Amino acid sequence: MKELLTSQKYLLSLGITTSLLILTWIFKWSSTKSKPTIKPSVPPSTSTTESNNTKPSVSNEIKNYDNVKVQQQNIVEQKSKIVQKTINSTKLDIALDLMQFPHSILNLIFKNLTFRDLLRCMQINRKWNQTLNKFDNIWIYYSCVQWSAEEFEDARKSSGSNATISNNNNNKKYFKDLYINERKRLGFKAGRFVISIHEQCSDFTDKNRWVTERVLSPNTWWKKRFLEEMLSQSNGLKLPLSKDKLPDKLQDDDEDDDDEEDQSLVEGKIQFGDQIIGDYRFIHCADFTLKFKSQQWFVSSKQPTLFIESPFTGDIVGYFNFTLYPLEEETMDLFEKFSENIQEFLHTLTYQTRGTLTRTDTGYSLPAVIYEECKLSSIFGKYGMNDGDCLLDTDLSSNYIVTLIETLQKFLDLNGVGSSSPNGAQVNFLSATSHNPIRYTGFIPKNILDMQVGIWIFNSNILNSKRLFGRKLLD
Amino acid sequence: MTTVKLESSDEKTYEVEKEIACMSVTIKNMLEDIGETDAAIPLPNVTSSILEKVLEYCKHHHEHPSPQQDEKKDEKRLDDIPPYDRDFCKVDQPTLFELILAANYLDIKPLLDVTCKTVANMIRGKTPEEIRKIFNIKNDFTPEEEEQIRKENEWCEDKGN
Repeated sequence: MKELLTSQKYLLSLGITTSLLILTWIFKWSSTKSKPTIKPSVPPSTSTTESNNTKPSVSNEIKNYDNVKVQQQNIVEQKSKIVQKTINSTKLDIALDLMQFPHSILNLIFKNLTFRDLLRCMQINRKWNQTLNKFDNIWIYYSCVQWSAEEFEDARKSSGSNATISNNNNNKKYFKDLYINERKRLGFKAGRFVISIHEQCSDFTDKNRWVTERVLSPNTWWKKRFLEEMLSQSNGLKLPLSKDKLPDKLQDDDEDDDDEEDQSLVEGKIQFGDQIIGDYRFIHCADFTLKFKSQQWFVSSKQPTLFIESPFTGDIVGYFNFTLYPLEEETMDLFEKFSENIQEFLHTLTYQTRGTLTRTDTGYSLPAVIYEECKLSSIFGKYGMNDGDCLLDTDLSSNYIVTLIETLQKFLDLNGVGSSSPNGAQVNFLSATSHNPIRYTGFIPKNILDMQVGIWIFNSNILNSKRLFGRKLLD
Repeated sequence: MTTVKLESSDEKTYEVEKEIACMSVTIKNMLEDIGETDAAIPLPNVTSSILEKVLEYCKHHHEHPSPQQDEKKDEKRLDDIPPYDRDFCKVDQPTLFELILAANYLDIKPLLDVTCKTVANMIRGKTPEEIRKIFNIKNDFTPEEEEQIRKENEWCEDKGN
């Protein structure tokens, strides 16, 4: 009975083993048939390892299949990670590097900045330096902001001789040259006062000579004329130029060394006798704007209502910038000593230039030529026109005197007391007098003499302004 | 009210008034080229987040048109950014830069001007070191190179004259 049971157990286990083997075979067969072989894109080393397993077992096959799935999953994850990383890195590059922007955008950004900002940006790192160095056209824009386009163009042309420059920074170079040159010219400390010198400045010297001179020495003629006029009208005044060049020596210049002379006709001292009482500097019109454009008073003086432009001044040809030491001293000693000289100097200066005198620290200005309503009684007669001092000119042939006489005669005619009426008045000019040359013949009733007429005159009250000079000049 | 559909680079579609969309010269030109269409206009260079901001800007300026300004007068002014635009540009740097690129691509001049002015304001008057900090830039110059470039550019610095 025992033996029968043992044999039955044996047969059962054999059957199970056999059926297991059959099932395994069937599974293997079916899996081979139904599933295509997956060949994952794995590195060659891996596939080499796999190929060594000539007869992989079923469990190994299943393991491999799972591995392949995991590997596939990893690859997808890695891929998405790489894509994400690429997106992030692109974003990061854009975010951090302004220099990757198109030039049109950089142009917009740097046009909102100054050339100093651009040069500072060049110092940030290599990439910024390289990119902005190629960005040379922006210097044309900066040049036009700093100067006029014509001035920059002139500089470019004058640099034409250096056409061998091969780098891309020509515009920057021109800008730099102009800028350094300007700094040399304008780096000075401005004097306390500045007065404009007008084209129609008084004509005591030969008019025709200055017409020629103006053509021959366009940059210096007005300086020479100014010095000559000042020295001819003021006793004891000396205006030695720096570098020991005296004005009288400068009158024999020729066209060729105009530039050299322009350099020397820049600054000097104001001297009475042996005593230096001030210093001065000539400033060209364009330089005047560049030097003072940042000053509040300069901006406000551009307001059209401030002063009416006189027909007897003409264009501004330049500026005379000066300081008088006695007016700067806190103590009165030096001022008292040179008070008369200063008065004479300032009178001659304002009269000769016909300009507007400005105090550079406050911007307070007074014009030397004004349009004023004057009583007829104060115009005519020996002591009229402030003893003749208010006249802008004393030459009968001058446009000013001709116009003045015409204006006065017209006024008398309109009021019925002119030359056409019986015993009417005729305006005359008396040459041989050191007093007022404006006179009349005939009769002008008192009520007409009390009437006012508008005429252009020299502002003889200019020296009375304590606000302008900081102290009372006249007693 | 005519509307147009705009599709961002990440395939989000926005339906906006045609007048607002046409503040972008690029879109205006596209619409002129293709005529009336229901299809969304693809904007492959603009992400949805940036497109939303751009549309917000355009919508505001469409509803609140600013007076015409004298271009020449305002050329160098950096302090003339209107309050709305100033607040609009108060975004993180990557967004600001993306707005610039989007404004450039879409050709919306007022937006491009204001974003560029904002960047210019970040640079104006700053030292190189300050600019590096603002834009998180690494200085890769050697000390010698740095000194040389500093000397080369010395001519422009104001010495108080």
